[in-house]
Amino acid sequence: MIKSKKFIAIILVFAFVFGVFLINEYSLITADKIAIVVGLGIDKVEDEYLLSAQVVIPPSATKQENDKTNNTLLFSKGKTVAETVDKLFLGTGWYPKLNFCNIIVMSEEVAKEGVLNSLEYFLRSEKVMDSCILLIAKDCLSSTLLKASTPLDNVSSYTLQKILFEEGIQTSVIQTNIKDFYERILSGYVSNVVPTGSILEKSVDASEKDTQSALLGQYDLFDLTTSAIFNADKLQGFLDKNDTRVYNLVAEKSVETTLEFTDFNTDLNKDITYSLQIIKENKKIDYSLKNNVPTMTIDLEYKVKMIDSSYLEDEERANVVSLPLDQELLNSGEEKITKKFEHLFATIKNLNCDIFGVGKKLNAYSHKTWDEYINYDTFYNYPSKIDYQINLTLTTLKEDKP
Amino acid sequence: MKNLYSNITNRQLFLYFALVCPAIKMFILPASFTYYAGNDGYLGVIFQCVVDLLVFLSIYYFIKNANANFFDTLCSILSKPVAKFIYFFYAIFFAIKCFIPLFESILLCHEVLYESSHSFMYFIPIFLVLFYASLTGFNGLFRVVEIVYPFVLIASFGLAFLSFPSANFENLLPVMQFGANPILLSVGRHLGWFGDFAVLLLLTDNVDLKEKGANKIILGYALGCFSIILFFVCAIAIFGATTNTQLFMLSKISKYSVVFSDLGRIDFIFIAILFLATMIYCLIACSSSVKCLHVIFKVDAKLLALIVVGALLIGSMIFVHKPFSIFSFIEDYSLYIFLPLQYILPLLLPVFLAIGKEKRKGKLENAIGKDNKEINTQREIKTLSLEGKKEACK
Repeated sequence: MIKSKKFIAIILVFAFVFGVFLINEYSLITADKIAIVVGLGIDKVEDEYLLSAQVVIPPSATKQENDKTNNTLLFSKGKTVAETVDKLFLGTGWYPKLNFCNIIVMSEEVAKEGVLNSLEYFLRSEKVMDSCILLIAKDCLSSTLLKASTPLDNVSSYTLQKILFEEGIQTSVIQTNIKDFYERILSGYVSNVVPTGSILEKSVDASEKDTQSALLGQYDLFDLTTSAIFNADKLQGFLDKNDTRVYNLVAEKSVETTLEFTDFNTDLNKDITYSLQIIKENKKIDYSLKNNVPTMTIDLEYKVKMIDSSYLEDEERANVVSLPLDQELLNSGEEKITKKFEHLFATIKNLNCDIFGVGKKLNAYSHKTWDEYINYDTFYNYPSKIDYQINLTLTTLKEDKP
Repeated sequence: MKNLYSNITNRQLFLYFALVCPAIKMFILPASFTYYAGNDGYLGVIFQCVVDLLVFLSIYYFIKNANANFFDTLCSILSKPVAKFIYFFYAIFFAIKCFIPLFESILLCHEVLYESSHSFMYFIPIFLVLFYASLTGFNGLFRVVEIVYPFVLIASFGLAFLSFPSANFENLLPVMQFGANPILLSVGRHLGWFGDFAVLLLLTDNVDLKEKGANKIILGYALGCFSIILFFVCAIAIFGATTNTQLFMLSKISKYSVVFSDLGRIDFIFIAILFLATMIYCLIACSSSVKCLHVIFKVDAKLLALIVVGALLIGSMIFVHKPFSIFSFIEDYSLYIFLPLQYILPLLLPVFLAIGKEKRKGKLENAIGKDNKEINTQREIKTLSLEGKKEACK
């Protein structure tokens, strides 16, 4: 009797669970109805947001001729970003899968107005990864960047991600994701640095249609080596290529960074060009309130190696294994890099941005003194009062010594 | 309910406190806790763990010295109706204890794992399991802990391994910027997520807490505390000022790992295992609630299980689309719901023992006094009758 009761109970439970699955309401959308969004662009047109979504459709398994991933750019307009996302797919009937969206491009105008206005949707939504990187489109619309295609990738957002994430070129570009951007704003101290993207002018004349170089010229190449700086969520200005690299020397690891120097005047009155690669770094950064002035002291010691130069004559070059690096060149290098640092410091002070997070460090490590110092009425002006000091030493590896 | 009274080994309790209890604190708690305590949230957890340990020592003293179980002790000290009244509140208390992690798991599924909102019907099998588990008793449930612990251990290490590289521990500074008040406020509002030792009150008959056993439990709880403090530290170090906006921390803490760029979200395997640990916690809490009702009403356990699970099901269905209203209710009334049953009563147990001893002593003395009186009167009667007999003879 008991056994038969148990059997009936099991059958009932099984029937219930099976029945639930037969309702066909799994909330799982089949692959042929999902539009995989890999990149989003946000522009402002006539007081409305213009959203550009780069959507990829995986190639069919049976398709032989063109096995490249298909990608399409869809557009929609709306008063809010959430509205644009809704509108975008109402017209196509495809469900927007935003989990794979790893890059959001914004135009300068949107950034000047305040990035949080348009980012809020992505911060609140569980559907978008907040590890998705931010990029500011410089001198062009964000959709222009997404439309571009490089010689190796026809999906521009993949190329942009590769540039921003690839080891080896990281010292020339900045990486900022939504989470970090938001965290810095909420922490109240650190200004944000976000990479900017633009399309390089085509170096090859496209009229030469028969040559291979002309074929390459049909594609676009990106330049992501500059960056934009923000106070809170509003764009304040830009850092040029040199400033961006110098910022990375302090904020990130600088090993394997190559520094180029030009116009070094030798005794023979001959201008030479040379490149040094950082092999080893010794970095010490100190934050203090000296004489009631927030001070950031950077002590940098780089071991460098010459990797290229116009120093040697051709016949001399053939006889050396390693390019010599003398003290004069090192001293000149130190001077030139220090000037680059000073240029960066002047720029960020003028723009009233604390991109190195001096305020946050002082608040964290010497909270009491910082609390006494900071005037909350003029809180956002403290970055312009920061004093930056740089002590740079370049040394060479033993084998490179003359 | 016969299985409810089977023995539970100290090893099972060790694993329960070390691996199952921390899992329920990894969903909404970090965000909610840091909303009040800021980057000092982990200090609040440390404080809470210390208080819980004191509760354990009190319960341990009770189990070691008491001759009766928790209910009988309450009956002897406070009378049976009062004891039943307290047990009724314990039944509600354990039902809420079950509801919190269960509802959090449902929400996580709802918000994170599914693309669009779906029918609540899919969660009903969980309630069927809850119903079944409420009838099987503690012994079976604690044995499940033993079965799943290697997986939970691997999952915990896996998550830690994936999370650590993205942590910036400077986010923990400055320590106690706004003093102790925000931390204490946060502690006071989140009592429902702690107080794991309350379940031991119902297991006084089932556990054998000799010295080594107590040490094992303390070690297990210390390990659990360590893992949850580490989780909080990691969460604050990764998310900094945005920690309070990261609602489902369990699914977010490891997502910045570079491993995912090549392998995809493998952390969801670990998250699923920790889900399992959370479910075990819910099953034990639900069983505790049913046991409390069974002690009071002495009716068929199936009926009681049906009532408890039904209440949980209805509660989940009502609040699934407005989850924050129920969480703010639990937080607002945290001191009234959890403080008396989770802390005050267990901490009073040694006092109850002392009162019980006094009462017993008094009864014994009375009993001895009565016996002596009877003997004396019998003696007097005997001497009187002897004297009467002597006089009659004369």
